[in-house]
Amino acid sequence: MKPGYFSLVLHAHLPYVRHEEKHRLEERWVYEAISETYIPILWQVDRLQRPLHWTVSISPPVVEMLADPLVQDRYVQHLDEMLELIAIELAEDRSDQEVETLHFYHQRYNDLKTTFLHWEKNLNHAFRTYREQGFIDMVTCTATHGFNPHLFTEQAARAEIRTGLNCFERHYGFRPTGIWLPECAYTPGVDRILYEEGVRYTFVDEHALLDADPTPDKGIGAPVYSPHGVALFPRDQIISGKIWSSMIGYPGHPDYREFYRDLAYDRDWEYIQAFMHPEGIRFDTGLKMHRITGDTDEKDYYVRAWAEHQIDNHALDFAQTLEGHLEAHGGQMFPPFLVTAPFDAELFGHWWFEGPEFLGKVAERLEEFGIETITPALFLERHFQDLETVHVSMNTWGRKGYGDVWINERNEWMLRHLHMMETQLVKDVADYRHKSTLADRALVQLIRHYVLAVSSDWAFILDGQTTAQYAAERFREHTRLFAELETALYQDKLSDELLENHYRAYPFLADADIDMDTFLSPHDYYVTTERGKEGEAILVLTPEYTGNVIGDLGRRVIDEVEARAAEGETVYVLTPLKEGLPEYERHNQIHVYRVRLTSPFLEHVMNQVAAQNVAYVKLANELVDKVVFKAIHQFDWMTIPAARSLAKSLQVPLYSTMLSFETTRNPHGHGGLFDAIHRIENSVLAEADTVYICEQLSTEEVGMRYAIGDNVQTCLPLNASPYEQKRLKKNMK
Amino acid sequence: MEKKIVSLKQQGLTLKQIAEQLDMPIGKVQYAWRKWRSQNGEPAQPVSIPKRKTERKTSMIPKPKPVPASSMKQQVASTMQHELPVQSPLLDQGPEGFWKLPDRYNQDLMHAVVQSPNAVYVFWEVSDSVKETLSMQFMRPWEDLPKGFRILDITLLDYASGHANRSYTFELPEMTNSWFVRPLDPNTTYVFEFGIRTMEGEFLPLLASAPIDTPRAEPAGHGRFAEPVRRWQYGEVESPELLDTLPKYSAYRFVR
Repeated sequence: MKPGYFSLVLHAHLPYVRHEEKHRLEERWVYEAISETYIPILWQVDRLQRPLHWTVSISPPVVEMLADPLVQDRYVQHLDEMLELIAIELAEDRSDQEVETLHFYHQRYNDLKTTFLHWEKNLNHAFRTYREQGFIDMVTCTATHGFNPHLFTEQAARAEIRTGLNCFERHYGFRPTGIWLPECAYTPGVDRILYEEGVRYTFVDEHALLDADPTPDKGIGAPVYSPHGVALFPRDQIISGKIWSSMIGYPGHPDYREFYRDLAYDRDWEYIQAFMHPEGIRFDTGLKMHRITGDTDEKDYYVRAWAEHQIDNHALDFAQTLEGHLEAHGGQMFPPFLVTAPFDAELFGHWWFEGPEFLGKVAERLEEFGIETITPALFLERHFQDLETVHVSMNTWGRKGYGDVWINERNEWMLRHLHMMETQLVKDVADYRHKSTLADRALVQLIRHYVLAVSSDWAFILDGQTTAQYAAERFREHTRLFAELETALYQDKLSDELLENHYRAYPFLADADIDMDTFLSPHDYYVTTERGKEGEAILVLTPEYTGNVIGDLGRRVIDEVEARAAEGETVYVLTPLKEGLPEYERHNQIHVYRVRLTSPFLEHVMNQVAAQNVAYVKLANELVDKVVFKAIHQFDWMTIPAARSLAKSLQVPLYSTMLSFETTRNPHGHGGLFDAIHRIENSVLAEADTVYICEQLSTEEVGMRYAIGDNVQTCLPLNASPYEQKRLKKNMK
Repeated sequence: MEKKIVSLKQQGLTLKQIAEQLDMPIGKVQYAWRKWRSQNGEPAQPVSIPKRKTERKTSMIPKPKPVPASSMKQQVASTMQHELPVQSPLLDQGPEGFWKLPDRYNQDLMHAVVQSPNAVYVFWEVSDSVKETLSMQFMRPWEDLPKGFRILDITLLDYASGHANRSYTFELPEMTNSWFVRPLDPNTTYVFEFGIRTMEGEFLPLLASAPIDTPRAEPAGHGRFAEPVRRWQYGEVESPELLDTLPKYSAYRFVR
C-alpha cells in the first residue's frame, strides 16, 4: 500500500416531488435519478462485490420517495413505456448506429426493471443490503436539505438534523455518525447541534479549511475538528475537478453521451406524442442518441464502444493523477494525507452518463495501484487523535463559495416567512404541547409543513430560474398549509380528517420521525407550565425607580407601586436601565424591567426619551403574549408616548401621574424642546382616563397653560387605589 | 353590545357620551365603532375622542389609512390582549379572497444572514405600536420621519457598550424592509441598525440585528479566533467566546 488515502463520497438528493396527481413533470426527476444514477451505482457495487469504502449519503426526501408505493409503481410503468418506445423505434427504419444504441437501451431498460423488481421496487433495500455486507458506508442528510446558515433558530436546525437522522434510521436500521450538510453549508454553531445529536463528521468545501483560523498545518490534507468537535472533511478541488468539471474534467470528452440532445426533440410530434405529457408538453425521454462530439451543434451518434474505451482511459488517468498527488504528499504523517472527494451522486449517470461505470473502474485501478480507499468513519477511528481544532467561518460549496445561490434578489422574499414559521413553531410547541392528542399531531404536522417549505431546493431553483414557478408554488403551498393548520389549532377546529388531509397532501416522514420537543425551549417550558397563573397586571412606565431616584417622582412611584402590591395587585414596572443595576428584578408581585436602549449615546433629550419609549413598547409587546395588563399607569412626560400607544393597542385604561409640568418647572420656558414637551403633556391630558396631579398644583393653575378636562384630579393618598375598580372590571372579559 | 353602540352613535351621541351611558371605557366604544364602520364600508376616520380644546394638536397624529375589513381584523387580533390569537399570523387574504403571503407580521424584528464575505442580507419590520409611539413623540406621521440604516463594525467589542470600531449611516427610501448590505469587509463582526433620522440630525436606532461575522476570504494564519478556540478546546473557559449563528430561541424570553 502507498501512503495516503482516498475517500469518495456520493450525496443523493432530490426535493420531495411526490404528487398524488398523475403526470407531474417533476416526478420524472425521480425516474431519471433512479434510471441513470441510483441503479447504475448499485450495479457497480454489485459487480465488484467487495468493500469499496464509498460513502453514500442519501437524503430523507429520496429515502421516502424510494420507499413510496405510488412512486415505485409509477416508475415500473415508466420503464414499461420506455421499453415500448424503444420497441417502436427499433421497428422504424433507423440507421445502423442508431439501431445499435437502441439495442443498448433495450438491454439497459430491461436490466433496470429486473434490478428494480429484484429489490421489490424499494432501492433502500439494495443500499441497506450492500451497507450491511460492508461494501459501502452510508450517511444521510438533514430532513429536507434546509440551508443551515440562513435558519433563524437553533430549534429549526436541530429539527432538520434530528428528523433526518430519525427518518434514515427507520429505513436503514442504524443511526449514522456522519451527516451531509445541505450544500456543504457550514455555519458557526451548527457543529454544536450536530455534536449534541450524535454526529461526529461532515463535509465542507476546501476553502473552509484553507481560510480556517488558525490555518491548519496540513491544509486540506487532513480533516479538522470544528470548535465543538465535529470532524470536517474538506473537498479536494483539484482531484474533484477532474471529475465534475465539464471544462477540465472527464465528462466533457467528445465520446461521452450528450446530455442536452434527446430523442424527443428529434422526432415528429405526431410520432412521439403518445409518450409525452397529455397536455402536449414535450420533455426528455432519457433516450439520448448522440455523443458530445465536440464544440459544435452538429452532434454525431453515440458509439457505445468508444465511450467504454474512454471510461477505461479516464479511470486509469484518474488513478495515475491520484497516485502522483498522494506521492507528492507522501511525507505527511499523523495523519497520513487524505484526499476527500464529495460529489452530488446525480453527477454520475444523470449528468455524466458513463459516471457510475467510471467509478467502478476507478475502484479497480486504485486496487491495482495500491491506493487505499477509506471511509471518513474508518479514518476517524484510526486517526482521531491527530486532528487540529480550528474555527471555520460560514461557507458552502456553492457558486463563489458562500451564500450567493441561496440568498439573492430572486429568492430573498421567502426568508421572512420561513423565520416567522420557525418562531411560531417555538411558540406553538410551548403553548400546545401535550394539550391533547389532536394538538400534538397538529404540532407534528406543522413541523412537517415547515421542513417542506425550508428545503434549500426552492431557493436554489429560484436562483437558476428554471422551473422557478414550481419552486415558488411549492413554497407558497407549504406556507399556506402551515397557516391553515395553525389557525385550526388556535380555533380548536382540529379533527382526524383535517390532520389526515394535511398529511395526505405530502405524505413525507412518519410522525415518529418528527420530535416536537426539538422546538421546545426550557424557558418557554417554565413559562407555560411551571410559572403559574398571575393576576391581571398594572403596567407602570416611569423614568425613575429604585436605584435611580432623582427627586420626588421616583419616591412617589416606588411608594405607589409598593402600596398597590400590598393590596394584592401585580405590577410590571418598566424603567430605563442604569448601569450596575440588574435588567430584571422581582419582589413578590412587583416585576421590575430596566430596559436597555438601542443606543446609549444619543445627545438630544428628545431622542433619548424616544429611545426609552420605543424600548418600553417593544418590551410590552413581548410581554402581552403571556401577561394580561388591565391598565397602564405612566409617570411624568417622558413616558407619555409609549403609554398612549400601548393603551390604544391593548385597549386598556390609561392613568397618568404628573407631579410637575414643563410649564410649572420652567414658567418662562420657550423654544423647540419646551414646545415639544408641552405638546406631549397636553396629549396625555386629552387622552388619559385620569390624570393625577401633584397636591401642590391646582387644576386652575394647570388649566391656564393646558387644555384640561374633568379627567384631571389631585393625587390620591397612597392608601387609595388610583385605579377605578369599576372601570377595570368592566374592561375585563 | 356593538349594535347598541352603533345605534346610539346613529342617534347622534358622541363616543364619550356613549361610553358614559354604557359605562364602558371609551377605547372599547371607539374600537367597536371603528370596526363597525370599516366592516360596513364607511371609511375609517382618525381616532378622535372628542378632545375639548386639544383637538387641533392631537390631529397631528397621522390619520390611519382606510383598511379593508380583512386586514383590520387581523391587526386587531394581533394586538388585542386577553384573547388567544384567533388565527395564524401567516394567514392572509389577497383581494380575490385567496390566501396570500402576508406583507408583514406587525412585529419588531431585524435579522441578518451572510451572503458572502462582502455582503450581508438584512430584513426587518417595525410594529404599528412602535411607529405610533414615534409619531406621538415627534408629532409627525411615521411616513414623514426620514429612515436610515447604520452599519457598525464591532469586531472584538460588545455591542451593548455602544462602542464601535467604525460606523456608516445612510438614508433609506421609505417603505424599505430589506437590504443587501455591500460592500463589507470579510472576517469582521457587524451589527446593523434600522432607525430614523431625527430633526437634530441624530440617528435613532429602532431595531438592531444580532452580531454577525462575515466569512474569512483568505488564509487567517494565527488570527483573532485562534486563542478563543484554544481556550475552549482546553477547557479554560466555560462557554466558547465565539459567535453562535444558531442561538436557541424562546417565544417568551422576556416573561420571567
